[in-house]
Amino acid sequence: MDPNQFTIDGLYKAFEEQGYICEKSLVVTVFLALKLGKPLLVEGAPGVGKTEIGKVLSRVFDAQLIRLQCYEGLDENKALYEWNYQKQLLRIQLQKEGFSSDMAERDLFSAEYLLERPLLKTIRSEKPVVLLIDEVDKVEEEFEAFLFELLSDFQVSIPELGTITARQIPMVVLTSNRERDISDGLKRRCVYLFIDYPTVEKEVRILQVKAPEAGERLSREVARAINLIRANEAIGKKPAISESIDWARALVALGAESLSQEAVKHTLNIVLKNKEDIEAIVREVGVKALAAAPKA
Amino acid sequence: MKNNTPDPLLSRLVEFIHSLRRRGIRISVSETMDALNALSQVDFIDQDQVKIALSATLVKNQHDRKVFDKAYNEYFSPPGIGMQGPDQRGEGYADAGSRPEEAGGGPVSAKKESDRDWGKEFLDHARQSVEQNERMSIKPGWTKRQKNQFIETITRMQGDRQSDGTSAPLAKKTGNSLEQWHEEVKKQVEQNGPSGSRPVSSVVKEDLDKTFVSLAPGSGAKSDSESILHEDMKKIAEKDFPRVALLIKKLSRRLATRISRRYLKRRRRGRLDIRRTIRKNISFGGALIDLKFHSKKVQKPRIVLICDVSGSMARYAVFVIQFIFGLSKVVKGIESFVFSEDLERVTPYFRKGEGFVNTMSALVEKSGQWGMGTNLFYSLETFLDKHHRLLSPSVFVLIVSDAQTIQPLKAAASLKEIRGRVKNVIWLNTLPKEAWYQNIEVYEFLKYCTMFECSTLDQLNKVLSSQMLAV
Repeated sequence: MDPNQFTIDGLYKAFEEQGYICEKSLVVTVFLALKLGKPLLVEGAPGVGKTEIGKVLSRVFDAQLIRLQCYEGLDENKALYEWNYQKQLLRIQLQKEGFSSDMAERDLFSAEYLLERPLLKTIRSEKPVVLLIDEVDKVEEEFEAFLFELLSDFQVSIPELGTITARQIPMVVLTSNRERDISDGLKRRCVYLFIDYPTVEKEVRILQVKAPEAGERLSREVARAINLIRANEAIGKKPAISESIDWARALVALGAESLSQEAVKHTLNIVLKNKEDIEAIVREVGVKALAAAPKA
Repeated sequence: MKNNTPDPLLSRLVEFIHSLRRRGIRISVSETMDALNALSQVDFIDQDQVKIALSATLVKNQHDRKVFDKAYNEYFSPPGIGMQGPDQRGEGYADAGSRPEEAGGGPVSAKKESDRDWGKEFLDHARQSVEQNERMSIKPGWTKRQKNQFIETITRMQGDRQSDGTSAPLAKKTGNSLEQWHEEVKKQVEQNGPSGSRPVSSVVKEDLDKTFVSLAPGSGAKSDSESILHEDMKKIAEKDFPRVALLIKKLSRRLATRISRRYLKRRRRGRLDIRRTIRKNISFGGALIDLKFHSKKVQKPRIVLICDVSGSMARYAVFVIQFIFGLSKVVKGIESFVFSEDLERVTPYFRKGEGFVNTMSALVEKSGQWGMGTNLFYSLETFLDKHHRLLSPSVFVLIVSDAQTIQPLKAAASLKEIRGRVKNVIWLNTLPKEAWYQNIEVYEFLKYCTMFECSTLDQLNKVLSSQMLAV
């Protein structure tokens, strides 16, 4: 798809073709972010498909995906650029030993000795790119402030080289699990999208695309049970969409045609990954409620 | 030269934005311009697209989204139709941010509303009795009936996420604004060509400034959760309990995340870390290029909670304990005690791994302290006698009480002993600061603790954040 010419309907269709099942409202928001040339800030619980938006966009527009995985302690050196110290030292040694021609100090700080990290790579790319800044809520506020310049003007300043401006405006997707609030400054520069867990109907459609071998009946039963589990506040970690897909596949692998009580008992650990959550669901919802009603 | 009359489309947009600001949503001028740009990119006849364009550019958190939806429906729904929920609008544009329960084809709910329909009279009676006991330092013990009532109140906390409370009437409707807006846009398109071809320029910014000036300043009304955050915990209505429970969960989780960080980012660098510097620079032939500095490691606080659960404090205690319960998921080894006439260790209840509601129900049911009178001295003596091993220089002792006790001077002496053996004693006093000094005893307590006014969730969050993260 041409990044300069696309419509909402075209984008919606392209998302579906890539196996990303979503509401049209989500596509309208993505469309607006792209058209306005603004970063898209996607918030939501873990496992609802935030990161996948970046991946799907790169496939839809045939653009390179550059991913910056955020974590506590991430700094400019790891996100933007670093000088290749080894290469610089080697060059100095060679010159000292007389193996190299004369060299000025500024040569040591030229593009040849620059190690590009994801952000700089994005800015300097000549082809369309999707920059995925994943789990931005994990970084410190100082790093967020550093992102301001990049996300508002799409340029970065390197003291030794000056200001580098993007050759084209990249598609930027930021994701956050809302572990902490993102600063107002960063939010202001983004178009905002919140993704919640899917409804039963939507999850059935996702299962039919991602695990077609499960069939409609089993997909519906799994989606219904997953929805019941997620509605319970007693559990610590709600199952992600990928876990419901795994559950459907596991049931198919066990030869289950329907979500029986027996099948629930044997496979609940595919969906819930800790003992307390399993016990809480068994106690508060019950295996019987999760299982499908037997066929009349 | 630009005409001085503001763009009508812009005026409508700014009016709407102003109405959002009055509801407590923070919107900058640049976001207003984004909204205007976004409107030029969508199909204006499609109300859903208009709504998404405005929400994606103006509202940047999920809570504000609900306020926005309400305001949008108020502002743009044609007269006579009233508010339309997303499920009434048909398929195709199911709200991406809505809970599964709200969307069409909805999920299966584990509980029915009728299951939670419990006696209002009974509740009022219990509330009155709690309030009657408030000013007394010694209260009669709660009957089993009252305990059951209290457990029921706690149980409300796991209720439906969606509050059924009716909100205060919003600002008066502006009438069929979208219809007018459409008409104006049509006229503009006829005069100037399609809006999509006209970029938002600096002239628009002038327009914005003009329009902002022409509108009266907003009242700054706060949103629902905001008001709960600042409401006296004792006065929070039962219908709001599920929302409060979620809010506490969120607040405690945020604080827990901050506490769990291993290193603290500091403005100033610490001392040079010779060992790490040499190791890092071996690859550079020993030339010290990349310097490493000591960074201060965050000491996870150890907390001993001593919570007053006498008649006047029971309500507060539930909220505070819930907050600490949330923290206990990350900060290991929190020791919890409740006291009224004597002290009782309740940590084992929290280690069973059951949900908060079950834990609290078991606690209220089995504990002999809920709703009794207050004897802080006797309680602290019990603590020093049986649990003194818990005290160490890395421990924060958190006392939650209104400081209304018998034998205050003796209690202050016990407090002094505890203070000498821990990092700090933080006292959360649920009475307003002005009322503290009506009791001479408070002066004695103040000598040996840092006392904070703490009657709202916001105060609780702020005190814990500032004190637990203090290095």
